[in-house]
Amino acid sequence: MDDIVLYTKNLKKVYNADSLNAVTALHDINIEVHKGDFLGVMGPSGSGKSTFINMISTMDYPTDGHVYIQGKSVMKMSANEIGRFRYENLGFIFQSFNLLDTHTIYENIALPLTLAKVDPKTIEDRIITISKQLNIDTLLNKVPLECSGGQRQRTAIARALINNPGIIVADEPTGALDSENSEELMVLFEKLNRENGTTIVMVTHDSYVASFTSRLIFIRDGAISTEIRREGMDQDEYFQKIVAISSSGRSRRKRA
Amino acid sequence: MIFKEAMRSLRNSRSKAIFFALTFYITTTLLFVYFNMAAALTGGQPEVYITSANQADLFQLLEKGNAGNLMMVFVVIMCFIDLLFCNDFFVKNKAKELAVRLICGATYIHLAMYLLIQTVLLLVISIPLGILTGYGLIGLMNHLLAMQGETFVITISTYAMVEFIAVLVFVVFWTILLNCSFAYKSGAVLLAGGNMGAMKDNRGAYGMGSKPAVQILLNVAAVVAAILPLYNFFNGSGALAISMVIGSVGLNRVMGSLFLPLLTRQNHKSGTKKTVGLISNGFLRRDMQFCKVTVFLLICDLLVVMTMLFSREYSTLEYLLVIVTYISIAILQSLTIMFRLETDLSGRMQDYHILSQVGVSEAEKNKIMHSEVSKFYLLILALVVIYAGTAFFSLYRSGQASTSQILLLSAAAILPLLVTDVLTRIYYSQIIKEPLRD
Repeated sequence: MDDIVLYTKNLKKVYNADSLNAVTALHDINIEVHKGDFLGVMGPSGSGKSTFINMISTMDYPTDGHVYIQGKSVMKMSANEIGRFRYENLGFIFQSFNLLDTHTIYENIALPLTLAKVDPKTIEDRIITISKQLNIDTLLNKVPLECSGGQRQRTAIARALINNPGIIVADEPTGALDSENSEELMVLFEKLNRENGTTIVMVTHDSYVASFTSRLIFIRDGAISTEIRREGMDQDEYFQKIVAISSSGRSRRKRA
Repeated sequence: MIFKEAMRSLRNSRSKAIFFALTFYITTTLLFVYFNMAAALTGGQPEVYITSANQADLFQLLEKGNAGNLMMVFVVIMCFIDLLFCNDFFVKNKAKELAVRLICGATYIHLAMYLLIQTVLLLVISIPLGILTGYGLIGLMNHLLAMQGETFVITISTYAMVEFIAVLVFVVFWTILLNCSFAYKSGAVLLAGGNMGAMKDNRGAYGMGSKPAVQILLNVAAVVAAILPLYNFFNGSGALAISMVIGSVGLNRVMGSLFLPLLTRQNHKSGTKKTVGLISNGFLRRDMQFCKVTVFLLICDLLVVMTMLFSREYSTLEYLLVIVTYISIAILQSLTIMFRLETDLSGRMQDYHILSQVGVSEAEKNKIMHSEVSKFYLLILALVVIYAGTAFFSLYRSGQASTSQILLLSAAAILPLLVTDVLTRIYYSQIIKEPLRD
């Protein structure tokens, strides 16, 4: 129980709750994420994946239920506490990179550290170290628009990791990358998870990308429909299993 | 149908529409007052200016030529530049809306009509109001002239009205042309899968790379060119207008190749101490990159008119006309800077959304916004103070300008900037609160 970094209890999200057009996006979501987990979240469009990731990353509040991160209830935090909690505990990686195009790569990576009031010299040292690890050390004075998609995504990863957060939340991180850069990114995630014990929660549409995770949940119609673990399987077997589950979901929808 | 949709679009972009109408209102008022004053100078008759061969040189004419139509051309050009940026600000965020219309089968003519209806609706409100205010201002000026013991009265002449209407028609034509070209450009680009921002985002890495010897030489030349007007003003040398134009070119390079890279270096080194400083400096760098030409135009224009003001003796009315030119340019150029800046700021909501995701609080976001606007306008004021201040000092020292004249001209240059500073903050605070749309 001690190594649980994130858990949700009866999580529910209803959009337009007070109107006639109320839509239940999520219901009865109970999940535990342990330290060092590499959790994937899959599901068809409109299944509630993004709502789920927004709830667990403090971007949105649930209508009912609870989200606990590092033992703290997100519901009980003020707006300012949430802000502090984000840069201290969470690292975000998005499909569209979400970098400040007006700022240099150096300034983008430095942002979470300035929020944590780390001194400029330490910031510089940490940026140099991480940028070398991610092979973006020659780009620090450039702005994101001068970099390739892969370089921008590595910058987003550097920004997400620079504060040593407890959890990395990635929403379709390979969505804007070609297959070569996608593969490279997933190998990096796998390495971070295996060697550094970084906890990762990743939403994806892609079965191959999902095959890099150690545990996978499928969300359908706002609820968790299936959960699988890689455990002893090699990546090919795991991939086949993911494809089979994804296909069975599609077949059921066709018959219906 | 198209009329109703245009009305709905105007309602949806209310604050932008108000800014747009306000600019037309001010432009109309200034042009109306201006043409009538200029016509009154010549008794309502067209004036011939280049009277001899030695006056044919433009810069000599700027410093020694007659007041009147020359300054009128100056003001009209300023009006056109102001409207160009104002229109850009008004229609830029309609690009997506226009692309959807094109996909749904609208032709470019439909798009142009759609934008045109919105523009005409705003013109119908702002132009008559501007003319009415112009009437009032001329009455006020006549009253002031009478109080000074002048027998001269500014009348509303037919010649001035013909000129005024001709320029106004050109202004409307210019706006229509801008709208049509925007409709064509934005539609074509968006349909091809791009976006308007990307088209303009061809900016470099703020000159942080290695500099070859040529670059260093050019930078040294730019610094010398930027200092040249200060030197000339201080020593009361001639050719002030041309030295100011050269100075603006130098200043442009100093800003792009020296100041902005220095700001980046400083931001990397010590800007990381505080989030507000780190982010606002980055935004400031982008703002200056985007607006620097309009800022240098303001300084250059103010100093050229100031040079004209003190270059020779004027009658009271001529003097009043030059003062009105100076004030008009200060107002129009401040508005131009504001619209240029706000066009860029209108796309800033995505950046503030990213800041929230990373953990920047609402209070910090507000501080970043105020810090950026303060630094931007302080930088402009500093440049105005350095250049205009040196000119004022020189004029005061030589006895050409009195303290009251200097105070009046300083206030006329600074007040419009302070007002646009406040207007920018109002607009920007709405932008950072806007929810993000896909």
